Amino acid sequence: MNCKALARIMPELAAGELNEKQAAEAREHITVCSSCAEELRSYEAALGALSAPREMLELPQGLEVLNLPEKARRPRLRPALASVGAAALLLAAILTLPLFSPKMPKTPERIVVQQVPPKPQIIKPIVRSLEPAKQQIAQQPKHRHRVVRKPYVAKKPKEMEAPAPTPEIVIVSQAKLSPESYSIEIQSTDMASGTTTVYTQSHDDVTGDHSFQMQTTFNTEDTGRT
Amino acid sequence: MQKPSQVILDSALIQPDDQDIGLARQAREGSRAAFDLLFQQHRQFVYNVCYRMLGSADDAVDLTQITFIQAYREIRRFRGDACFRTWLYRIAVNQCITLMRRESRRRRLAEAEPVKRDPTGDDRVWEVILKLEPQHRAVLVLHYFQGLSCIEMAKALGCLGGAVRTRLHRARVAFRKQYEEMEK
Repeated sequence: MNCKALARIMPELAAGELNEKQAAEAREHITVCSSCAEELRSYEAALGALSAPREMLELPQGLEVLNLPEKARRPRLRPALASVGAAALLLAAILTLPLFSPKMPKTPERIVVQQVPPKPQIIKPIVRSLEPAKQQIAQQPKHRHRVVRKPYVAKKPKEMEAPAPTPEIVIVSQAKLSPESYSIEIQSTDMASGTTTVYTQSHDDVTGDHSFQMQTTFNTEDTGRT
Repeated sequence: MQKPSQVILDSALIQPDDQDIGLARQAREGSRAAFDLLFQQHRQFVYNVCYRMLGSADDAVDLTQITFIQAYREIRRFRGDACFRTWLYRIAVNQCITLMRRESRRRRLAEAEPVKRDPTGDDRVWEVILKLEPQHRAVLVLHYFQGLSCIEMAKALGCLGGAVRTRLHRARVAFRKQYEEMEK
């Protein structure tokens, strides 16, 4: 124990209120520290004088009897009685309130022209039905954490468009009229639409004449377009 | 170290006295005679506390009367947990501290009062105690003159035991300082 720690418990040491362990440590320090020993002697002298035996003081005059004044005890209302009194006061205040309110002057009689108020326009309130929302909520899965997976459906491959049928080409007639002229007639038939086209071509090298004719015939009716 | 001598006088403070509690209950129900009995039994102790704290016989008489009058008014608040005398000490100490604070303002402007005499002890101790602060004076009077322990003082002063021990420590330090200066 050092001087600083002993200074904190010096009054208690002088008063003899420390336990044995603390007192022994303190006494051990005091044997080697003269300043603490001197301070302890000062405390013991002061507290010794303070704790000297004293007798009880005799009663002086004026304390023979207790001089209780009139109504010394504080009057205290019972709680039930107090609540009834408070209610009565509140009721009285409410009833007498109109007496204290400022009187309004009487208004003179006036001719009041009644105006017909315009007919109120009825505006239908916009009410949204909750049924769709309810149905949507009802259709939701109850367990939100459960993952509902849709069944896997393999996508159908796209259907390839059928290739247009090749027209049927038939050489109807072919003639070589001379060594310098010829004539050919070709018929082409479209199977999808049923259109038949006839191509006729003739050529003459001597005269230089060249002709080409095309005649198309539809399957429904023959338009005769050439 | 010599223990306080009044320990014998107030040795029965820790346990509440059944007789006092019975008288207090009768006084609470309106019996003036029961309260007079309590006054007769405890007036000397209360007077001693007041006198040691105030240093004036006249003030102590007045404060003793005031203490019992207040106790009679507030007798409903006495629950019987502690001794009736401890409860009276609490009222008396509070009254004395209030009076001292009020008087200290007045006495600053007045002349220094003559040193009071302790009829039963050392005048130097008495003079030193009257120089201390009211709180320090209260714990020293209750402990050394009335013989109350720290637990009883805690009940009488309305605080915890640790606070009382701290206050007593500081009061001893202050007393020793003043006493040493007076010795020089």
